[in-house]
Amino acid sequence: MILFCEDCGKKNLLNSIQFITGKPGFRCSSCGYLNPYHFTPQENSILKKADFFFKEAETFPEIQGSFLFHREIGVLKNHMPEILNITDLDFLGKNLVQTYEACQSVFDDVNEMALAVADKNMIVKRMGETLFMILACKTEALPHGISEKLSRPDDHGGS
Amino acid sequence: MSNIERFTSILNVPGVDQYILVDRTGKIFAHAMPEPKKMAEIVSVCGFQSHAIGKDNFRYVVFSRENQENFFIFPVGKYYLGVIKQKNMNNDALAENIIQFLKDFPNRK
Repeated sequence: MILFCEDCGKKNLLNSIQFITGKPGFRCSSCGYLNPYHFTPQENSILKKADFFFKEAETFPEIQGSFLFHREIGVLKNHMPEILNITDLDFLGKNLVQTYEACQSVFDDVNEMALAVADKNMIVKRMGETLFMILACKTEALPHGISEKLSRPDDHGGS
Repeated sequence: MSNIERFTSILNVPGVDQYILVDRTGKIFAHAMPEPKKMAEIVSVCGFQSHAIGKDNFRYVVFSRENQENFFIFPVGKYYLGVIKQKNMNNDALAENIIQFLKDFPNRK
């Protein structure tokens, strides 16, 4: 990803955005200025609705946890069991998203991915260009109610 | 007949529409699909990534599609098996059928 420094204008080639003092941003490789990362309007809209989806997910006993993952930034919101730390979730999110996108490069009608590991499933739903909801689930398919809401985030979640 | 040649019998498994068997480099060992080269890379890449997450507990990964021809990848020793499902079969049933086929495969003649 290429981002330009707001202070000196230098082009920065980045693999990921970091959370610096709790906010997403990057430090310019040339002048060291701490640049904030600005979410797109679509990302902001989904971020606002994410808490609604987490609350909905908690009502389904099949769903054991969930987190919102940004392709460049990593974990944005986390409702997974505490046994998984943020490094685990970043690894998990990155691999799952890369797998999802690799498949979508061939089949553009992919709308959900489920990775079956032992007796659990990691389910990935794309929420926008860069955002993915990842859920740990006892079943291979998401309950219909939540699956539908995640497929059309703009139709649900209030505001 | 070699093991790989016998693998074509996977087409008799209920719910299987197309399949491809590749190794981790994407080399094709068997297939029954119209564009195998394009699929080989995806199967090896997605299989490898899924293996990195699930390690020895990786059972399969399934990509649900709007046209219902869902795409599965299973680990098979040092290979990965990609399967495209027939529309009228549900995911659970196909996964169980394939897992059973893979268990029985060494004993098949």
